[in-house]
Amino acid sequence: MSNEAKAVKDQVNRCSKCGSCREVCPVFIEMNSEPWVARARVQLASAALEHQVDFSHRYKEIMESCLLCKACVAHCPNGVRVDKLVLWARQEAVKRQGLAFIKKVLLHNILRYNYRLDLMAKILAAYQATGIRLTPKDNLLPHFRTVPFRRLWHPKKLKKPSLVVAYFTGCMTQYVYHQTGRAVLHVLEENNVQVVLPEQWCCGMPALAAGDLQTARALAERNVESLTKAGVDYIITDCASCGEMLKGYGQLLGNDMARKFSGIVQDVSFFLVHTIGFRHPDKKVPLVVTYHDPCHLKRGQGTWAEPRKILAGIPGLTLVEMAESDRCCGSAGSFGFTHYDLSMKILQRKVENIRATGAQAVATGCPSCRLQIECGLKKADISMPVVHTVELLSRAYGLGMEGEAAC
Amino acid sequence: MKKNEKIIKQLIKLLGQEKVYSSLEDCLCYSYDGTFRTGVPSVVVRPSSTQEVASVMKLASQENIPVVPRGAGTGLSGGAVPVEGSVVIDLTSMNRILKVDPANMLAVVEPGVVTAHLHKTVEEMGLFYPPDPSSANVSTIGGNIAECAGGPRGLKYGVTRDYVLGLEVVLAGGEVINCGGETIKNVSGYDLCRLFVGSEGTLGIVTRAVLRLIPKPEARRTIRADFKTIEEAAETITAILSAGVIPAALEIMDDVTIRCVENYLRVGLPLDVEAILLIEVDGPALSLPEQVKTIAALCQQYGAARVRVAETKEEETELWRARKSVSPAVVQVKPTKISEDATVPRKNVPALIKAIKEIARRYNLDIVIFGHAGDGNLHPNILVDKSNPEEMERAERAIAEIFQAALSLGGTLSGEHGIGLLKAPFLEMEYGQSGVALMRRIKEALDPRGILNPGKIFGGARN
Ligand SMILES: Cc1cc2nc3c(=O)[nH]c(=O)nc-3n(C[C@H](O)[C@H](O)[C@H](O)COP(=O)(O)OP(=O)(O)OC[C@H]3O[C@@H](n4cnc5c(N)ncnc54)[C@H](O)[C@@H]3O)c2cc1C
Ligand code: SF4
Ligand code: SF4
Repeated sequence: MSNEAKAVKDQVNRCSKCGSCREVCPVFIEMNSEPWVARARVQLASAALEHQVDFSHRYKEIMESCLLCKACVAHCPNGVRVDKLVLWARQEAVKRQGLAFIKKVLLHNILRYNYRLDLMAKILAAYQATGIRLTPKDNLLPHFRTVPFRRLWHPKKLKKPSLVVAYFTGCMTQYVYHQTGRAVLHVLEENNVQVVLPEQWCCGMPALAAGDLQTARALAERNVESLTKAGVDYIITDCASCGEMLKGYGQLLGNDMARKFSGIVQDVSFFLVHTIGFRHPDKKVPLVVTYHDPCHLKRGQGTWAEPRKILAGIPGLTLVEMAESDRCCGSAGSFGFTHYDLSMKILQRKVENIRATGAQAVATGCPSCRLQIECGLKKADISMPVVHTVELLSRAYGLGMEGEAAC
Repeated sequence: MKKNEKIIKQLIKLLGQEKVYSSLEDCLCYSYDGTFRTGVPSVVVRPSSTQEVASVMKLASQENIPVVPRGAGTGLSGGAVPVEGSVVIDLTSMNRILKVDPANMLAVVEPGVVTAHLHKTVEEMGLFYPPDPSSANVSTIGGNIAECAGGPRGLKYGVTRDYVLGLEVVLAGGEVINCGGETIKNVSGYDLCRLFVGSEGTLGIVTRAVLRLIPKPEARRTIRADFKTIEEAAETITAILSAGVIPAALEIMDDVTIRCVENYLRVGLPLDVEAILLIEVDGPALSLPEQVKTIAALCQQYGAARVRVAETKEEETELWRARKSVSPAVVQVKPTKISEDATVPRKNVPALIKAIKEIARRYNLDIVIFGHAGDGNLHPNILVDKSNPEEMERAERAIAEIFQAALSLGGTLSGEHGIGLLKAPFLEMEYGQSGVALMRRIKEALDPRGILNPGKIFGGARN
């Protein structure tokens, strides 16, 4: 048995089939039948390992309907890494059957090339400018920028910076939420941190989630090489998913350079609170804010107290906690597109929880969650801005907030 | 696997495509319960009404196909593990609370209602449904009734059986019957409710239940006492109950359990004691300080090394944390845990613990013991590695000896998990040939073709 198969078997063996995941799996809660719960995915992974099932349509459907939100992992008394089993199952399916055509085009021919991504964003921006909507799923598309962030904005050169960091901008900041990127640059500058923007590629999460290990590794290698060359103290992310992915490069590539790389990756909120000890701002931001915990930040990186510490440090700002703040919003990368109805149902509960707080704005630490929540609020006719935590801090340092992008 | 295409077609005709799962993948997702046993059914149906259940039963009896009712699949004796080739009836689509009647203090529910959902709903109305299996957040009322589930509150409030006033049941041939009703008192005819409660889906399928509710206790308090010896802990339990205080929960953890939990949590649990007792009292707020005082004094008097009384909600959570962390803590030792529930008369708890420890030593196994000491219901958990067949074999032999020990101490094979598949080979040990033969006759009277959950309780093949 290969090491990988052994690791899978170990996880499978840990599952006592207690069914506790039925309490928390958002997909199960909406579908309410066993095949959609974490425990069933463990059983199917085990069956695949034993060659009891082939990679049928139904098998893939069940494995693909996992949000990788890790709610089950956090709740499981045995700590079964269901997310890893699901990723393994997807990779095996791809190994045997290849990727579906559209995924292959996106992952192999676009994701790996920055200029093609730039071009695609441009085309989408142009399409959006026409006002045409081809399907309701179009509502899930963000407002694409015509010029990518890294080409438009450049960090200031500081005289005597306390630290030098590379800012990993992530595709969402690069093509959609420039306001987050500007806030990150501003906030770090305010704290005397020199930012550099070395050449970088997509973190590879979309590829990994689709089971395309090859693309994920190729992108990881490029990022490790380029960002390591920059010789920085830390690598900062503003996106929960990118952050988790970059922290996993060490394991994904299994070499020392990648491990070293992963060791210096920090989410911007973690960096501000623990590494630099951010300067407390003095401008008031008189807002009642509620905070949504991204799965990949709280369960993925163990970062949930830090964004709250930042919010608590902003004068005039009141934080009201929503119920189930760490429940998945249903976005999960491309899940919203591939599982539109399900994703919308999961989102609805998030929106209800937000509404019940009576807050004026939602803060979060992941641009994908932001996009999803913006959609949900819009659908429910609630006009409430969704912002990245650092945008609020940046505002408290005195930078004006750009008009919140609605979807 | 042999597939019965005709049956699947007929089921689809009866229920509609979306309520019938027949792919191998779906069937694999219904091939297990909370045990390590598995069995792949031919088809799974998800009816949403009594009529639909009845129509499936009618078809199954005509065609002579085994049927396995299923709730959340958290059972710990293999009750919901499908027989090869069977139809699984997943009852979780029938999950409505049909009525909560505060005046008559009862609730009418469908079988798929999740236990904790019922708890929450009635508690919001100032009412209380006491049966509280630790799996309450996912287990179903149907599964609770079929296993006669208990829980920590069993000592003071009794178990599921004590709260079932009436049932609607679909019989093997598809007939729908009602037994009991909405009255507290009811002695007309045989007590069929009691027959169906705990029958593990072998006599009929529960499609509706009338459950008795009581007023919600106003307040509760928690006490923890550490004891150098198991005997001291046991004497304390008897002393507390003799003093007229009936705790709402009286939980015990043995030294091996304590060590596992401490290794996992690092909260400073004492490592030089043989037992920790967690005692909870509930009732009118005014009555509690007196009860707490009595219990704390008795613990001290009977030799507790340390007694802690939770003064705040946080302290209460802290005291319970160790007990609630047993599951995650013990799997750090070995990945597979086999959870038993040998039960003895309360005064024999120390003797049973001693016997289990001796068995663990002889078979060279890690066994942690915890559970509901107040009602003699212990949960020895045998920690093994499923992928080690030699160890699994030792565990099986140890389990047989644990049962033997419990029975020789005047106890029973199972306090709350049921017989199912796992304990079926031992039933005769408890009831003798004639006892089991009588049970078989009852089974045959209700299910002459032996299609309802065959192999459970009695073991063996069908019929
Ligand atoms: C972590 C954990 C903790 C547990 N703690 C406790 C505890 O404290 N106390 C306790 O008593 N048990 C406990 N259990 C065991 C289990 O949860 C109970 O037996 C529970 O009642 C099973 O409910 P279920 O809905 O999961 O039933 P299932 O496992 O699906 O089924 C159990 C049995 O009931 C039958 N059945 C299900 N629904 C019906 C129906 N509508 N009509 C007829 N038959 C039916 C099935 O055929 C099967 O024989 C625990 C289990 C786990 C995994
Ligand atoms: S909670 Fe964990 S151990 Fe329990 S069934 Fe789910 S995955 Fe398995
Ligand atoms: S990761 Fe999320 S969606 Fe996937 S099985 Fe676990 S809880 Fe369910």
